[in-house]
Amino acid sequence: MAGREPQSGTLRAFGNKWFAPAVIVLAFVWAAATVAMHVMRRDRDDGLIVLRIGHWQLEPGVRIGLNEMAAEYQKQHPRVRIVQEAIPEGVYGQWSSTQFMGGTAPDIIEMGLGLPPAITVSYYNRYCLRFSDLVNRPNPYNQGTEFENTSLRNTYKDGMIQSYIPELKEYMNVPLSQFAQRLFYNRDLYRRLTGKETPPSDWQGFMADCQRIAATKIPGTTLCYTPVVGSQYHIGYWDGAVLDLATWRLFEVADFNRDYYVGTDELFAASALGLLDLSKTPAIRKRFELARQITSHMQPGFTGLTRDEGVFKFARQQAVFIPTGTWDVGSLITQAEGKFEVGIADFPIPAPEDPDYGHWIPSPRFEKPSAGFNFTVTKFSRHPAVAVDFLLFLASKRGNEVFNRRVGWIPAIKNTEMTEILKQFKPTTEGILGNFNYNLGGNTSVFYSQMYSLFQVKQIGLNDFLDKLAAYYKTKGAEDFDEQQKDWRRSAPATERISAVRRMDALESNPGTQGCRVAWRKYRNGSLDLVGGELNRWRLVTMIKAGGKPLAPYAYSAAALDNIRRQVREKADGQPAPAVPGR
Amino acid sequence: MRSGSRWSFNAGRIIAGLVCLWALSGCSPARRLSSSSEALSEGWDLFKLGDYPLAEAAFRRAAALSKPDSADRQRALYGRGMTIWLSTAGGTITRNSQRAEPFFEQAAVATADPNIAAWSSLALARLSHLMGGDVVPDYAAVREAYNRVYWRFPRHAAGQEARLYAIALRLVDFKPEDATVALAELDAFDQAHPNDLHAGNTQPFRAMCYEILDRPADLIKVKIAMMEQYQQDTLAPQTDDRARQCWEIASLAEFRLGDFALARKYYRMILAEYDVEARSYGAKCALARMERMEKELARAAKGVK
Repeated sequence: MAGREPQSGTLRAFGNKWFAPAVIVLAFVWAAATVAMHVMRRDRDDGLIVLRIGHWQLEPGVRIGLNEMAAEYQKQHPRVRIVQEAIPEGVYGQWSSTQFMGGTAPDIIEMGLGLPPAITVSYYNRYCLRFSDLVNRPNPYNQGTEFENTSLRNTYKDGMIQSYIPELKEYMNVPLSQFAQRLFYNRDLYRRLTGKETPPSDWQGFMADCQRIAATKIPGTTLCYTPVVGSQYHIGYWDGAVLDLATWRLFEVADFNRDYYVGTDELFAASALGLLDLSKTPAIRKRFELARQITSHMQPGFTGLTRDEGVFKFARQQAVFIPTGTWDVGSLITQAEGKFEVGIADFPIPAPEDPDYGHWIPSPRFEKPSAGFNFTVTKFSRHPAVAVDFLLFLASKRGNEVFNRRVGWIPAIKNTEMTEILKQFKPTTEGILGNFNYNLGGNTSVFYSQMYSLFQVKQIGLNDFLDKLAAYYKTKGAEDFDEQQKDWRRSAPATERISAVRRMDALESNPGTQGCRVAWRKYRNGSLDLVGGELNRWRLVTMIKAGGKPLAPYAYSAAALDNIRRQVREKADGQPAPAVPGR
Repeated sequence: MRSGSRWSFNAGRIIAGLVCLWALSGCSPARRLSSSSEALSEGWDLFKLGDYPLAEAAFRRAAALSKPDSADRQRALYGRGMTIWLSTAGGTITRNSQRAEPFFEQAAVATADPNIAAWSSLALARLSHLMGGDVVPDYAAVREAYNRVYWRFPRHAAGQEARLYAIALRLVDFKPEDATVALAELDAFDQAHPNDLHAGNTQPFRAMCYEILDRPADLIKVKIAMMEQYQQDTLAPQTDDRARQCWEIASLAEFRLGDFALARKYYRMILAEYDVEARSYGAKCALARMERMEKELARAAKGVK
């Protein structure tokens, strides 16, 4: 033992000296080896191509549908594997941002959630492939169909209008589905409570049914049935599908740029110029009268309820109607299975002969059949051609039909079949749109939300609500309008950034080539966006500063009226009238 | 400390240091750039990806690798200026502008690449235009700055773009007297540059002039010309915005000119060309409204007789 003492001491001393460096070295070697193996495995040409696809559709049907389509694609392309990354909606914006910035974004990514529009545009610009060439060529997967010689964008029901990003002058994504909203109802309960099979399409009839439903007690309780499910989530459907329609005619006094729509700045300008008054203009009053009527048939305190709480009430058969979209068809039917039959109807609107509202809502709402579920291919993809090819597979006539049938959504491609229940979602392609765009941002938006909630739960009356809204709009609205102009100036560098990239694309292109001509034309087409946007902003600011009540955009000018009368007289007399009568 | 343990302590420190250096070298995102052209290309790639600090480093490297009066040196200065100016980091656009200005100034006076000199001059003018949210630019000074670019590079796309900005910014007050002058300037521009890059780009401003001057007939003519020009752009086809243009022309013809024939033509164009279009219902209402109005006026005219 005595002889071993020094050896043990040496080992201990050796350990004391080298333990810490050894741990560091070993840890580093282990980490380096792991990274190297990962890289080697990734780079190993074993013939497999792995495509990652990121999206936020957590509905089980979507993931299953995508997997099945991936399996079908694999049959044609045995070397390709598709891996899904389904991310919850709540964190999708942060997730996609970190993936893009870290250079680890998947090959294919769904765009359009969780980020402000300007950021989305900047991400498209920096990190995604352009599809403008692609959309103008036929989809190879449409061989043998009526679309084999049709450009990709012309195979879409909406012509891929939503894929075009005006700021970039490029088509940037491939949409796969269409969406629509309808009024779902418990058919058995409705029949039992009203004695009818289908709900009426006119507003007054619908209100009468709601009153009848609300007067009936739920068996075994002291509570009455709720005619319409309400929640923070569900109320928005009524705003867009019915209530806002009453404000369609506002474009006649507020559409200053003549695009047929009323922007938030235009509505404010019309108010500031005295062309409309939030508390008195009939279209606006009618809109909120309708709001009062429908919200009085929702469950008490609905403004504090979440989407799930609303759905729960419907699933428990305590409510008859629930508004939602195509994405909920599968889950609602599943929840109702074996308990009750789910019916689908369009939202009721006032009949044209309705004395109170017929004039303001002369037509059903226009439903733009625009496609969503938009995917793009990122610049980080190691196999961009394969990623694009997979998207083309999903966007082919057959691929899109099969995929959407499995998912339970509406196909985005023309001439495709959809499931029987979805046929009731066929969009109304002629009609009107709402034009009440009060949301100037900032305090105005917060005030509106607060007041509207109070109004919805009857804590304030219509006159009080509209008076408060109008008074606030005139004072704080002006501040938020000014802030909008500042925001525009703040975003100007982003416009310049996009222009700078287009300029560099043009400068780097080979002179004399078609690519060079195209690059310069694209630069040219966007080069004046900055000053064009600036002048459009100043138009309204100058009008407001000038004061006075101008002629409404859709009112006949004196000169126009003279001209019309002259032409009518000419026609009646069969001879030319003086060019400007009376002058 | 004994010499053995000092040695092992030092060796441990050296190993740890090497390990750290090795590890850090793995974190270095920049490629080794051996030529100025390679560095320039890397700089623009990074700029497009929005990696501004790395882009700036690449342009700095490009400047270091290039000869003092070379074209690459000038390009590196321009790239560095653009990166600093438009960087999302670094605070306000005003502060970025101040930092970027010397680079653009140097690139604008250099002569090796006249192309870059022109674009740098345009960037210098635009520095005075983009002032951030709270500052309304001094438009007279901005116009002057843009005009200076044009006088120096009248045959270059950058100079012509600057001139169009100068003319357009004359209209910010929406005064008829400014619109009259701007119209003459736009005429002169079109005459001087009938085949250059910006040929046809005067139309939106011409339309604005007619709007300010309340000349609806001329305004409609320009809008029709714009629509045709837009449709014929085969080099860079844009999204089909024809329905909006039709609506604008038709409603101007109806309400400002009283030319129902022209209004009908464009309202009907919306109905004929689009299966699904938000303005279709509005167009149908407009056609019915004009019909009704004509009948009422005809009845009234007969009654007067």
